Amino acid sequence: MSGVERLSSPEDELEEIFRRINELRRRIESFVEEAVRRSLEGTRRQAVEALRPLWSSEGVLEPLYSVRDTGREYVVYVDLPYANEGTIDVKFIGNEMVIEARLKSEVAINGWHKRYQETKFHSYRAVVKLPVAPDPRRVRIRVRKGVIQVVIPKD
Amino acid sequence: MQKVYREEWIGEFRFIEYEDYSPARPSYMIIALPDAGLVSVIAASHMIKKLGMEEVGGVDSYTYLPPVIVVHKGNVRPPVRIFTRDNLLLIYTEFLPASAAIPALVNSLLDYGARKGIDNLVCMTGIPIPNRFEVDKLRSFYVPSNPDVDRVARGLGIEPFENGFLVGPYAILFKEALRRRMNAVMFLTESFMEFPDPEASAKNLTLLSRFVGVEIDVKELLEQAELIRLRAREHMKRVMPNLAQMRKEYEYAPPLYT
Repeated sequence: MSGVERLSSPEDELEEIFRRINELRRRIESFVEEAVRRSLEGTRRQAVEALRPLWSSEGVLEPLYSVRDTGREYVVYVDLPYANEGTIDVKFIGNEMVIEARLKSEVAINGWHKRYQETKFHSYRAVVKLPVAPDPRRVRIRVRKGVIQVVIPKD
Repeated sequence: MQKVYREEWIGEFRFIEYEDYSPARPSYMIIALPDAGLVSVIAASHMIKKLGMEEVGGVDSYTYLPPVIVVHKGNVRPPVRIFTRDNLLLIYTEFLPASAAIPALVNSLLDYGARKGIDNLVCMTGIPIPNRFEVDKLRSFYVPSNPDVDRVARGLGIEPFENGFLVGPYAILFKEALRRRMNAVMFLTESFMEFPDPEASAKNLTLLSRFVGVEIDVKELLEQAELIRLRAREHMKRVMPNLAQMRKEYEYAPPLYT
């Protein structure tokens, strides 16, 4: 016995077939629309990311960082040149790592007249998306020559 | 308005000279292109300042180079700039063209060098190491184009780069130099891939200084290293997608056959 409900007349069966075809078409259209929307959103995000500067006129610099998967751990390196190492602060919020640090002293970019609106930079701030939500108690952090290494165990 | 003394098309590239110049012999052409850790560009930038090199020309292309002008002290310059002093000719650019454009750029630069009577080509760049964070004493290596260059480079007290992959603009540059049977050397110093690395630049400059016999003081470069790293962040971010496109990560991989 099949799971298909037996209908009373050929007309009803035909109507049921059309209803199912329409439902299938609606699902396919919805799937394609969602795929296209996601693809366009990804392209838009990439373009925005590529065009975004690593500084703000409020005097905050965004550091360069990289995330490596070493098998048993994720290792994040953040380049914080000229940061006051005593002020480096790392927080974890879900699967985001927030890094903040003050510079050793305020820095103006010489030789780039007026492009920074004569901003003086005082700190770094970055929000790094991680592949996992780490347990902060198990995270190991080291700093050498203005580069910070954050080791996040996977298990 | 910049005075143009001479201009010449080599392939799709327009070479502009602001004045008549000719490097003394034996002449050295140094090509600084963005690569791992911006090692070459940071070194070249320091060298221009320290040696007081004069900007004598530039290179532009609407086909192969980004639509960029560089404004320097009110003067408009093309994205690739040419500096000289005595027997040194330095080609400097902070913009890395798309990988498909690099062979055309490299060939035009080497053609230009040949017309200027260049005797030697020097490349200096970073070779990324995954444990750069842990390393204090950076090692340097060299790749020679022929036994004569090998002999001179060996005298600098560094080892030849014997096994491994080199990927990126300098790989193409060196292949072309070999094909043309040029005297060429490539200095490689361990560096970060993804962060600007002025320490590696300083090490390369020390080698270059001894190779060409011109004193280049790197004390200030090392003292200013942190501020240079801070300033070079934007450039590093823009260069990384190009390096990824060239599969630069192959340099981390040991060759199977050695």
